[in-house]
Amino acid sequence: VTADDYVSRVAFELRDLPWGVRRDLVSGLRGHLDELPEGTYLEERLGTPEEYAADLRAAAGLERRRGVVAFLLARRPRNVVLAAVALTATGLAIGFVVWVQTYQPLSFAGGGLDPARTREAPAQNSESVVFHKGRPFELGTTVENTGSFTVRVLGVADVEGPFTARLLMAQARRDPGVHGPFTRFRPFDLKPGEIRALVLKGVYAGCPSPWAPGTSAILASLPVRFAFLWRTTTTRVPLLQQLAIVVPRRQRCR
Amino acid sequence: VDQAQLLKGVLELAVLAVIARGETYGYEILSTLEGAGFEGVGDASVYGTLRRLEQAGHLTSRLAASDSGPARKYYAVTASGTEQLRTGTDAWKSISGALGGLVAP
Repeated sequence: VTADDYVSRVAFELRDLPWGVRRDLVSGLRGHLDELPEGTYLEERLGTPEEYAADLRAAAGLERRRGVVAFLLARRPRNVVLAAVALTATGLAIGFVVWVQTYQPLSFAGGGLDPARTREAPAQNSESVVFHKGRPFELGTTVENTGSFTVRVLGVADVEGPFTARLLMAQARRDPGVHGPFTRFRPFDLKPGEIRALVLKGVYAGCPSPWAPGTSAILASLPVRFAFLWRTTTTRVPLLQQLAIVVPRRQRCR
Repeated sequence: VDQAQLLKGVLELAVLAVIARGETYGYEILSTLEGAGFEGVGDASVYGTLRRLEQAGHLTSRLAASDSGPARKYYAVTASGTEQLRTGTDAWKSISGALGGLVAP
């Protein structure tokens, strides 16, 4: 067995000891082996590495150590620090990704725009409007960024209802009122505390299933798409009140 | 009775006695002990004893360059080591005398 092998095997047997203690013992052994005459058969003079480690441990009064603390103390301090830093960085990175993936700062600001001739149904905490094919239709809500970071509002996903409309937007404000002028929607950055009105403007159109005559289309929110860092998602921003678009029984679809 | 076990029992005293003669290093301590008849004591026991005595404050050490290789660790006896040696020597004389009376032909 070579001196290096011998030292390695002794070090392995002492692996439970604190790193500094093991380093001193191993260093002392290496120095001792260097002092031995050339050609000394190590196991004949010192015993096996396992026996040497056991004798050394017994004479030095170093008991075998177990447990998490002993495990950590037996590691090189620099490696423990590096591992702790790596773990912390990984945890922070995971936490950051989870936070971004769940970050949703958009909420209803309190203002809304109903179609003309909308009637309230207070008992049901909702509103209703009668479908009139070809007549103007508009529906809006206000979106507020209640978070601490700017997000980019990308638009409103398809809203299913008996109408065709295009999406308009108002200027950024600090109050929840729905005020014109409205311009064609373009993606915009919504800063913390800012409010914007989003309005669907068009006409009542078609009455395909499931909005056949005698049924109602219920709208309670608008699916607003937004982007934050690498993530794009959709959140539902409530309307002022739930709206039922009632398709009369006499309405002809075709 | 295993001689090695008997020697181990007084190894601490022997190591202190060797170092008390003057600052010295591990291999030289071993050689001195072997020359004095401590051949059955393993190298590991001597190095382990050196560490225990140093940890107990009975020895101090310093690294010094050597002509033949890496730096050597030189040991010296501290005041508490000197006291330990004196106490141990008295105990040894007492035991040796008592045992001598029992085992003498």
